[in-house]
This record gives sequence, structure tokens and C-alpha cells, in this order.
Amino acid sequence: MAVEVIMPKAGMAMEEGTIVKWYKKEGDQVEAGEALLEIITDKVNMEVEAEVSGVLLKIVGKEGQVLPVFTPIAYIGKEGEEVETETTGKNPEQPEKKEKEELKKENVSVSEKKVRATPAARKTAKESDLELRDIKGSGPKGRIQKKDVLSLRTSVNKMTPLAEKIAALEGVDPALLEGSGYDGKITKEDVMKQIGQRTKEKGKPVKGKIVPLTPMRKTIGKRMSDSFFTAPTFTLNIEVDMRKTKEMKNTLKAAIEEETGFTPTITDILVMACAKNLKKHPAVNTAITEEGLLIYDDVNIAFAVGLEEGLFVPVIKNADKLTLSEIVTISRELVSKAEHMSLRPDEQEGSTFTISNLGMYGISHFNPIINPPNSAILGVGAITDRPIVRKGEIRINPMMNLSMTIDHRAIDGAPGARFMQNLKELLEDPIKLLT
Amino acid sequence: MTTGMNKDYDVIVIGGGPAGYAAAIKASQMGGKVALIEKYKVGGTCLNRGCIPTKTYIRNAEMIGILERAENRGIMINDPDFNLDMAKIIQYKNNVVNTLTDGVSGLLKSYGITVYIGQGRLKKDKSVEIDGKDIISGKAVIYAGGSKVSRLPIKGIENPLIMTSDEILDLAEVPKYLTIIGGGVIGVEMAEIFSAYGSRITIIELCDRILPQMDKEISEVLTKILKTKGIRILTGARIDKIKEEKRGLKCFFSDGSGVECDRVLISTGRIPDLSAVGELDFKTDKGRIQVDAYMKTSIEDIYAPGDINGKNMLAHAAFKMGETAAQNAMGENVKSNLRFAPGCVYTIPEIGTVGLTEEEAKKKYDDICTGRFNFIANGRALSSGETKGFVKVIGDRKYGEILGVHILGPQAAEIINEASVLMSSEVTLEEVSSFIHGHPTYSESFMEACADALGRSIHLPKKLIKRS
Repeated sequence: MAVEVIMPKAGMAMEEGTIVKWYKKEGDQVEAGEALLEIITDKVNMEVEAEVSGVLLKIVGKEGQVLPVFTPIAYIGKEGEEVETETTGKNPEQPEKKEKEELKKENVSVSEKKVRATPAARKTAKESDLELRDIKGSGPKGRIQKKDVLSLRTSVNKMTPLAEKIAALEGVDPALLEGSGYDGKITKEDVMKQIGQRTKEKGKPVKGKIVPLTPMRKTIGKRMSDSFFTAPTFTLNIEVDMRKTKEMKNTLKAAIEEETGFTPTITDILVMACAKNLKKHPAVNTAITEEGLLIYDDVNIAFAVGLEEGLFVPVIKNADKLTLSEIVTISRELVSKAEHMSLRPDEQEGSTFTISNLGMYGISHFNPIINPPNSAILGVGAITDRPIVRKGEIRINPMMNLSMTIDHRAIDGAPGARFMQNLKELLEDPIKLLT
Repeated sequence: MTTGMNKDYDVIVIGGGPAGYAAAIKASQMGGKVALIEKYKVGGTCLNRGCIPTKTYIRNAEMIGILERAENRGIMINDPDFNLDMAKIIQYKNNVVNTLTDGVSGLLKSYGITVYIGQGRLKKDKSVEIDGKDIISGKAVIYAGGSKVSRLPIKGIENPLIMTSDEILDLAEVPKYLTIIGGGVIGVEMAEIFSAYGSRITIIELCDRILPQMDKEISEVLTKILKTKGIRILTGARIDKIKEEKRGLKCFFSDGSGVECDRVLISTGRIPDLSAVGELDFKTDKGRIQVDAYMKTSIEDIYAPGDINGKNMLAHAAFKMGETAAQNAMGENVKSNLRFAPGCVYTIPEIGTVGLTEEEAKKKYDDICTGRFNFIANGRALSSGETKGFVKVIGDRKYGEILGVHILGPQAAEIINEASVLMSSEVTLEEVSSFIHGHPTYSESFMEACADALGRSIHLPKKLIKRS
């Protein structure tokens, strides 16, 4: 009998996942352990592997679909095998296919209660005065989705061919349009009005093309807006003299290279310094939860890796307990995995604090946005030689700006400032990292 | 009787032309009690002095042309001479006109519309006085006064040998030399008719080309066609005065030179006929009563569809405007969209045009494409010996919208309706070129021109330069 492939639950918090891309198509031979498709959760992109070998008989989860965990998305079985897509849970002896189809039809026509539809689809159908039983569902098990309702609504709201073409080219959702033509037919004028509203401030429509948001882009967008619009934040800036840290890095360079094969970076030292400092300032190593303020025992430091495809934030676990060499090794491994899109969910979860370094681009300082559920994020600027005054004398030292954005619900100004002050001390005299 | 809530009618229509009678019938269809006031005969300019009588004459010109060309095709007429019996020609035309005006009267009667024959005049309280006697009042007035021939301030224009389109249609004797001042639609149609009747024609046009409002290529090709018929065309020329001399009339240009002829036709356009304005003070622009798309004037409950508002002085535009006015007078709220009203010129061959000219399209759209199909490559046209002319299509490259269609050729005034309908339905170039057209028909050329705009006409040679 065919084996279901389900939307996996990758991480405790995961409730639903989006299908990004199918690597295999129906009829393909697959081996156990082979990647079948890519999904994205609210945190990570990941691959779903085949648990058994066989033929990919049927794909029911479509690309772009958002599905709850444990929803069947495909079936693997023997060549030519019939797929039992109905999870009837009844008699194991299957009724004839024909009968089954009739049964399905009956289910649909007998009563609306039995029509499978998402709540959004039901709501839209009700608003649009459409009967659910008139709509063909494209979701799993024929479930009617919102887009099915919208597409029917569009076909009910007739459009002229030109209006249809312009709407498609300009990415205008016909469901939003009010038809002014005969019997509510949508005309060019209606579409242009919508486009005009979109670009109201400019007299002429601004030229450009629409690139659909990738699932990753959507996830980043959602997480960042959630963070930005939930947390009342403020940012603390401090200037750090990096002369001694740079010296230390150069001193340790050969030894670490020999040990790990990698060159240590300022970010590595910052991970270490932050980890040590967070241990001393547990107030900064926190998260706002529904139950209350969660003060972490562990210090897990996430660091932002910007790639063409988007942003990854892998996590160095228990960073306070690691040597610099260990930090170097782990962080290089994580970066490499990010570049190959092979980070595991657990490697991107569980952070308690985040570092984002844009110094390599010459950025002097910036306001980072908190990576939830963290309460603070450290933004790192470029190290530049600047004149400073030491004991009444002007010296030229390598200086760096640190900016920490803090969720004021969790951390007040003074504890945040003390954290920054101590971090500055650690970096200006890195021998203290040994304490 | 004229004041207070007791109105005689729901709608009073002034003018029995296309705008007026269409408005009256529409209002009646919607349940209104309607009166119509006409000063002459229902049917207006179109039926009595315009579209219909000229088309009767154009058909005569076409038949003369067919007779002349018969020999080419091997149809030998033994005595090739023919004469025109002008009295009979006029009678035939009048019969056609009367059949149609009687038809309109019958339509109005069938709807129970009260028709008053007389000069209407609007009074301050929006009631209407007829011939200074009866006064009727209505909840709304549809003022479809129409238009009249405009007479330019040319010295000597009052001479009785100088005609307008009103008089020339009843001319009993074909002039040997006819000078037509104004190379617009009426001018070129009359040139065709009287050229076929045997007059030697000179057209004098102020602009740099005849039919100056049309797409340039239409003007250019028509100029060539008219010239091969022996019609003289003088463009960029202004007549200052007309003098009667011993041998007839002489039209003088500003430089003192002139054109001699027996008769002069003035066809320099038409202006709104405001003879029924009476005591009301409408907002006007260059003598046209200003209206919005709902046909509402500046005075509440008075609508002004048709020529009187100057928006589009064509009978079919007037039908539409008249209906719109009636719907709104009866409480609806609809607009007239005249964008896709075709324009037809009954030259030989005909002209049909709708939408933007190439020049207009270039100004309004960033990237246009044009397609062209010459009738010489069309099977029906070739078989019929009607090979002159072309179909030109202008489209917006980005969305494939058809922006303008300009046809000079056989049945152009019929084919243009297809273009107009498709444009109103917002059908794109891609689709038109995929529709099956009967073969052989003239209208295949329209489909081919649409395909050519996309660079994929089947019946045109492969393009040497690929359209980008």
C-alpha cells in the first residue's frame, strides 16, 4: 500500500509549512533518504526526504501551498498502484474506485457541511454570495481554498480580454476590481483605475516589474514586521577602541589557523565577548513570553548571514562555554551550510541573542531589528582608524561603533547600557575574556 | 398651467433629428409621457439634408462608375453614352427620404409621442413656447436642436449661385464647373457625386490636406484617388472673396489669383442651431451648448444631446447621446462613451475610421505598433476590381489594445463596425488575428492588418526587418 509523505513538524513551534519546490514529479522513482521537496517553515527552509523507496505516485501538495503539519502532501508506492487519498479510516477493504467517486460526489451535493473548505474560503464565498458546492477545490482532498473562490468570483465578474491582459501583466488582482461595464463587466478603465490608485502620488505609473515574493522573503518580511511592530525598541550606541582586540586576533591567527584551518574574524571574537558578557548580564539574555520574562540559562548566539537568496541566522549554541577555536569552527560550518541551503532547523533555532555585522561594507553604525524571540540584537559597524584623545594626546586608533537595539518591554536603559559598557571594556582589554 | 407640480409631460424634446427622436422614443419606452417639437420635418439633417440623401446620390455615382468600368471586364455596352435625368434623380432621392421620415413619424406615433410642428422656444421657467402660441411644460427638457451650415465671412457669399449642402441636393442642373470650398467630409462626398454626374471639380481646403482630422495616410491616398478622377485639389488655400462675373463665379485667393466656375459649394462645417434657446442662458463654448457625459447642461433638468453640443456631429453619436439624455431625464444615471463611435466618409472607395489616428496614438502611448493590409492583396477586392485602399491598424504594443483602425476601401463603412465593436469589447490584437473571417471577404483585410501589427500576417510577405 502507498505510503504517505506528510508535511513534517520540524520544531516544536511549527504548525504549518509552505511547499517551496518539488524536486521530483509524479511517476519518478525515489530512494529512501532522497530529497523530495523543499518546504519553508516560519523559521527555516528545509528539505523533506523520502522515508521509503518506490515510485512517487501522486503529489497532492502544490508549490506555494501552506499546509498544516502532518497533512499528506504526496504518496509513494509500487508502480501502477492506486493511491488512496481519502483518509477514510474505515474499512481497510477499499470500495471500487467508481463507487468511491460517486460517494465523493454525493458528499459534495448532499449538504454544504460536507464540503471541504478553508475558513478563509468560506468567508470569501459568503462575502461574494457564492455557493461553496459550486466551487472546485484545489487543495488536498479537494478542499476549497480562498484562491478557488476568488478565481470563481473573477469568472463571475467577467472581464474584457484587454482588462484581463492588463491585470495579468500589471499584477492586479481582479477580485479587487469593481466592473463598470455592461452587467458589471470589468473593463480596461477599471483596471487602470486600480493601477492609478496604486501609484496615485506619481502622475504616471512608475515603470518596473513585479517579482513574486519567494517563501523565504515572505518569512523574513513577516518575522521582521512582527518584531518591529510588536517591540518598543531603543538603540544604544557606543564607540570601542579595537586596537588590542586586533592585536590579539593577529597574535592568535596562526595558532587558530593551524588548529581549525580557518582565519579568526572580529565577529568570532565578538561572539565570544558577547557570550561572556551575557553570562554576566542575564537581564539582556531574555525573551518576552506569554507566561512572563524568560531569563535564559544558556547563551546561544545567532549571527546574521546575508546571501543573495535571503537572510539566514544560524545559532552557535552555548557560546559562553566555547573556546575561540571552537567558535571559529562552528561558525564557518554554519556559514557553509547556509550557502548550500542545508542548514537544519535546529541549527537556526534556540538563539538567545543575535549579532549582525555590516562592518565589512564600511557601515559605521545602524539600527538593527530584533530577531524574535530575542530581546536584544547587536549591530556591528566598521573598524576605521580615527583620531582619539588619550591622556590629553591625540592618537590614531582603530575604532568601531556598536549599536544594540533593545526590546524595552524586557530590558531597561541602565542594564542595557551597563552591558554595552562592559562589552566595550572586554573588547578594549580582551585579556579580560580569560576571566 | 405651466407652473407648479402639474406638468404636461415627463419629457419635452426639442428637435426631431437623430438625437431628438431617439431620446423621445427611449423616454417613452421607459414609461414617460413625451412631447416632441420639430420645426420642419422629423428626421433632422441626417434624413432630410445629410446622410441619407447624399448616400442616395453616392449610389448613383457608384453605378456610373460601374458602367464606366464594365467594358474592362468584358461587359460591352453598345451605346456607352448615358444621360442623367436630374428631375428623376431628385425624385428618387426624395422618395427615399420620405420613406424614412414617414418611418420615423410612424415610430413616434406608435409610442404615443405628441409631435408639435413649429419653432420651439425655451422660456425662463423651462416651459417651451411653440411658434409663440402654445406653451407646454415638462419635468425635463431634452434640447436636441441640431446644427446648421456654417457660412464663413467671405465677401460675396450671399450670391444665390453659392450653395450649401442644403441646396445642392435639389440642384436641377449639373454645373459644368463646381468649386467646393472646404475639403472635409461633406466636401469630398459632394466632389465624388458631382464629379460622377459630370462636373469639373476644384476642392479648396484651408489646411494642408483634405480630411485634415483623419489619419494622414487616409488623406494622402484619397487625394491620389480623387486626382485620378480629374478632381483638382488645392490645399493650404484661403478664399477671400467670390465675385459674379460674366461667365459665372470667380473665387479669389488672397494673392489675387482665382478659380472660375459656374457654381460654388460652401462646405466649411456646421455649427449648433441655437434658435430654440429663447430666454435661457446656457453655458456655451464657441457656440456649442456645454454638456457633461450625462448630457446635462448648465441648467438643471435640461439635457442637450447631438450636434448642438458639438461633441461629435455624427448621426450615430447623436442616437447614443439622445438615448443617454432620455435615460437620465427619466431618472437613470448613465454616461455616453463616444470613444468608439466610428466615422464614415462615403467617397469611392469609402472611408471608415474609429479611435485614434497614428499621430494621436504616438502622443498618448509610449510604444505603438501599426499594421497595414492593402486591398490589392485581398481576394474579394481583386475579384471585384475594388483594389484601391488599405486597412491600417494602430495598437499599443504593451497590452495589445487596438487604439485606432483606419480603412479606405470597399465597404469600409461596414467593416469599421467590426473594428468598433471589437474595440468597445476591448478585444486585443492577438485575439482579432485569431478570429476566423469568411473568405473571400473585404473584412479579412482587417484581421490581416491586426496580424500585421503583430508581425504575423499570413497573407503578407515575411518581414525583412523583424519587428521588435
